[in-house]
Amino acid sequence: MGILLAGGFYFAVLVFLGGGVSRFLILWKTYGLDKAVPVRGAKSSPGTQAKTICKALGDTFFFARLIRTNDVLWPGEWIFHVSFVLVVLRHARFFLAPVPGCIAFLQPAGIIAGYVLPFALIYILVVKLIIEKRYFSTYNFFLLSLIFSASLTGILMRTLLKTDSAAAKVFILGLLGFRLQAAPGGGLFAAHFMLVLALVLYLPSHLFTAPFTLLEARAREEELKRIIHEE
Amino acid sequence: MKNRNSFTSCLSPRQIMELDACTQCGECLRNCPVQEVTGNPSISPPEKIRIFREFIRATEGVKARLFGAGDIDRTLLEDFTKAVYECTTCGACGQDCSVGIFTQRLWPMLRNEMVRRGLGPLGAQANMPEAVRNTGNPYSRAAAERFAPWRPDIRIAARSDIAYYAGCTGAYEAQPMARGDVLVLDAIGEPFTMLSAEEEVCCGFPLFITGQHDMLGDLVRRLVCAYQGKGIKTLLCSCPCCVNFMTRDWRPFYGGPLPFRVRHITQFVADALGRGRIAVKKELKERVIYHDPCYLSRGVGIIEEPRIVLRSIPGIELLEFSRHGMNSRCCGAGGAARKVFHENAVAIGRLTIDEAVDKKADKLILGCPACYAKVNEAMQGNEKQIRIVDIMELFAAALR
Ligand code: SF4
Ligand code: SF4
Repeated sequence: MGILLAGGFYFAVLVFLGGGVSRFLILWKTYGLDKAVPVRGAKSSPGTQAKTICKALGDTFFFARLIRTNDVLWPGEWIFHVSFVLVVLRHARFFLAPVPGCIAFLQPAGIIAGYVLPFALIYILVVKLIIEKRYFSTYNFFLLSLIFSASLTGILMRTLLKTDSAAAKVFILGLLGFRLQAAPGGGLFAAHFMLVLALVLYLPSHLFTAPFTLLEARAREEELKRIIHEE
Repeated sequence: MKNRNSFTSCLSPRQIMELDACTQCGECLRNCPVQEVTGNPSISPPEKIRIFREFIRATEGVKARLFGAGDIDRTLLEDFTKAVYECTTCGACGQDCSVGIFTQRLWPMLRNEMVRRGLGPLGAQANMPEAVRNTGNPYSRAAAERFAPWRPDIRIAARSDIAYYAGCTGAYEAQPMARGDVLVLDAIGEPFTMLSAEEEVCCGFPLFITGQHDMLGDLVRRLVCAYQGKGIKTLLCSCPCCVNFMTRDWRPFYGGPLPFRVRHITQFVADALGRGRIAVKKELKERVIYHDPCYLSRGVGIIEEPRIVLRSIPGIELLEFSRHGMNSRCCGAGGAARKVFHENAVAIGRLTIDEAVDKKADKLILGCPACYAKVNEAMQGNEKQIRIVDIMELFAAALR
């Protein structure tokens, strides 16, 4: 089982990095090809630029644009994303030795987030499928199911069918150092690990690009005031 | 040399990031006019983006780089092309987008890619380059008919600081609008010039919006040089599509900053009202409702000026649509989709008419020649009826 998980791990990491490189190459190729995209007017003042950046940070960290369009969905989405980040940070302890103070500090919050996350997902599903009955992409449904399953297996490993986390850490550090170690016993760890690998393979690209488009949108909003109006 | 296999050669890095940034959340469907009338999510923004991402992955993804690009199903390509052309490019989806994608410019560039592949444009849109090449306008109409049927006998200066561009749709399809424009300009009394009917060719917008970019550089340079020859400092235009394209995109196609500024006619009139160069004395006891053209409000941020112009008419009561300003609903005519998806355009146009009637407006005020032509068409056979007037047509009448 350990070998299978290790193979899956290296495959997922390679695909993830390969995806990043291929995106970078596409961006590199098109660099400078800014035909027919908004032409920037006069540069805005440093004060305005700072305001634009602050607004974009608000959009990135508080999903301000989503509040504007869907304030019912917003709490679910925001809590889900925050819990997801906290859970990921909590898992960083498996990849780092020694564990940095900040990661250790976040552990209690990470545990709570682990329990909150599936409820946030259920909330999103209820809003989308039962209350609003609107468009729900197959990809998002798949992704949410994947995260839900990973989160449930994680909770089970912590509560009912406890898994040896020290062994898990040895296994993961072994993977990072290319010195394969035995995987913790029990199918639950393997299931959880594979679900997370699947998540890495299908990781949505918006996690990396949305902050840029949000900043760009705020800059465009600012530009709109000046594109045809006098300074 | 463009790589024919690549799906990204027409896109800017920003747009590639935008494609990657779509979360598939579907928030953009709530105000999409095409969704309102078709209810077909397979032609919605997230689906178009998802499919286009598939195209990119199939040709430039990791697997394609390692083992060669795979074939893309022709039906999928055709379905995508239809979806991207069925859109009115109104940009409402961008306004609602959770990650701020600038869809008003993304869709035309995806269309550009489909043209490059020989899949777009659709139907009558394909005749436009030929029509523009032969006649100077996308309607294949003679230059002699451009101004003659509607232009009143007013003084047009040979050279001036100010020029007025009527635009093809205004000149051929919405003549009361172009007539209203020049009457108002004449009433303001500041000298203005115009190009001759042969010189005033298409601004390029219909070609741009349908993804047919080959002639754009020539067209734009031709117009800019002609206006430069007239020594102008300000180019006035009332068509939102022309104004939008001139302000946002003429510069890259011209190859540098424009030697004059472009202004919408309502800006000029609002300014003239402010400076006391013009005033309406005649009272007009009417309830009117103003429709914000997408390319004017969401496109270049002209929202207040048309309202200043309308409110300057004594006695007028100005009503608002539930969706107005930046959130206005497309009239159905946008993106040259009206030329192919006529039924959608009529159905969308009727949503605007019905709301105007429900709000008990006496007149529906439009500010775009494409809206003017299409909403008038949508009125035919519609249960609810209302008088449609262009903003400058109304203002010119109030000045008389
Ligand atoms: S631009 Fe308008 S018509 Fe096109 S997808 Fe967006 S909202 Fe719909
Ligand atoms: S709102 Fe924006 S991010 Fe969400 S599906 Fe539509 S285009 Fe994609």
